[in-house]
Amino acid sequence: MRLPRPRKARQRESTIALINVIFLMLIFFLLAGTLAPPMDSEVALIRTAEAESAEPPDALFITSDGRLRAHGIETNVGSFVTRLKMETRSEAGSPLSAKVAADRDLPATRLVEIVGELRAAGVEKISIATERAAE
Amino acid sequence: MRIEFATQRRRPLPLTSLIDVIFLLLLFFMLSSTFTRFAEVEVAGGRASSTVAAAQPDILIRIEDGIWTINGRDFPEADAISELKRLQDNGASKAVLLVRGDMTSQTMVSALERVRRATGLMLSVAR
Repeated sequence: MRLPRPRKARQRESTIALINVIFLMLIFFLLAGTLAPPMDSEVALIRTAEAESAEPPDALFITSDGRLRAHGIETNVGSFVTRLKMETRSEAGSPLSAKVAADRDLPATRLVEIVGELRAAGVEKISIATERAAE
Repeated sequence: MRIEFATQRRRPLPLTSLIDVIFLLLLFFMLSSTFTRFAEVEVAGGRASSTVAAAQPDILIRIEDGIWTINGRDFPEADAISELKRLQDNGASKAVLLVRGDMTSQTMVSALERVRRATGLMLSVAR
């Protein structure tokens, strides 16, 4: 007569190894990445190779057809500068500075126009955010 | 008579909740961090009105299809920088990059960056 063998108790999968791996990944992302404000998905940043590096921009985005976007919604120079002034009021005395993140295919004339408008609205230091190509 | 308590068996640490938390942290950092390196290029100038007229630039640069026109003379891109250096050695200090036609932002910023890096000219942008 054939009798079933007694079943072996299944060994529990070791969770320690799993935790180790996840922990390593966590540490990797902590060290290797930089926390960044969300970038506008419609804008492909200008590439540079040599410019001085900077922290991820919280900037005024300009799409390739010249629309202005900030914090994910469309805006214009006036309301962007108003908001910028409110945000930086705490550190009074320092010159108002803004970052512009333009699409790489935006006509340069339009970019210069927007920079001029920003300057006319009272922003003293304007820089263009770019992404550094890998070296 | 003294009776020893039965030694309690230590329960294993609950690992599930620990994994949950670490997993959440991992997800958060994976989604919110970026590996792109950013840089910034400062722009001076803006409209070709007051600032440029007042400053009286020594050098005018125009770029069209990779040809740099510096004070009216055409140079290929490689020679343009050395020409700018030569002008700077001869006493020029202010330069203006004229933005015309269908130049893209990428071209403009690349040119700004190259000139800034290679020379000490005060470069501004005008239309």
